[in-house]
Amino acid sequence: MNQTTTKQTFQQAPAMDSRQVLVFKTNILLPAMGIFVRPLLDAMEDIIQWTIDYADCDHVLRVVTTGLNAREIEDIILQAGFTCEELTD
Amino acid sequence: MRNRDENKVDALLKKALDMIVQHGFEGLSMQKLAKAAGVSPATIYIYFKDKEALILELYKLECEKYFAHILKGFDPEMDFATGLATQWKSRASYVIDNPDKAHFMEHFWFNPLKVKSVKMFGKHFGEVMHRFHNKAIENKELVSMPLEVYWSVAFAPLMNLVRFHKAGVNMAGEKFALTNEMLMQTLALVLKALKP
Repeated sequence: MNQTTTKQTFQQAPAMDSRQVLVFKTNILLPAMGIFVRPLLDAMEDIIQWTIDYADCDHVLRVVTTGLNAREIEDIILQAGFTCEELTD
Repeated sequence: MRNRDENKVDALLKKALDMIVQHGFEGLSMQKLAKAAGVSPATIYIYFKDKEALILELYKLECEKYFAHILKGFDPEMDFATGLATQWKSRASYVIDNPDKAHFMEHFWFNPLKVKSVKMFGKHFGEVMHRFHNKAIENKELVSMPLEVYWSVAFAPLMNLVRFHKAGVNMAGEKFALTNEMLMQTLALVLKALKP
């Protein structure tokens, strides 16, 4: 179900799998707005999977990536005209 | 960000179960769960992409625990009466000893997500139960009937008595506590009905 079970940190050297999960607060409120970011995120080879939780008040964008950093993803979303801010622990 | 921390996932799922039992599925949100569990929403999103994914994983986990419990001490090669009695005992004890888990699993039946959960499970549990059922028919210990009819006669009476017991009241709202005698009396009626 959840296809993203293995995660690695920046600090820990990517031995087998360099996948990591990044989480962002956005103002992508509806699926109808999500279609504007879809082509941009789908086009990124380093993004394995991404989802937006429209039900959440932070409209959380969750990205599973093999190398992009938070800043690069924020830039993609900003480019599409939305706000995007990394959520950290 | 960080490795999957199984302890953290367990703690989150346990908290989610508590919230669902107390406030229903609508009472759970990623933000409320974060607050209740004392973690940031980001932490929860690392493990689950949304509330649905979290509830589905919780359901899968709880069912696996339940299946493991009711297969313990059970052998599909048992004669039908012994096997069914063994099943009744372990199913009743699990529900009575784990009221919150049972409450959650039962409520999940009425959640639209139920449809999505169908293909989540391994085959083992179903295979054991099918073997028990088919072998009993071969041995002429059990009438052949549609599987749903079999289940409804073989297990639903038990589940309903346990439901009354858990609620502490019967269908008329009167005080009720299940006794072993009642359980065995009902089992005897069920066995009689299922006998060829």
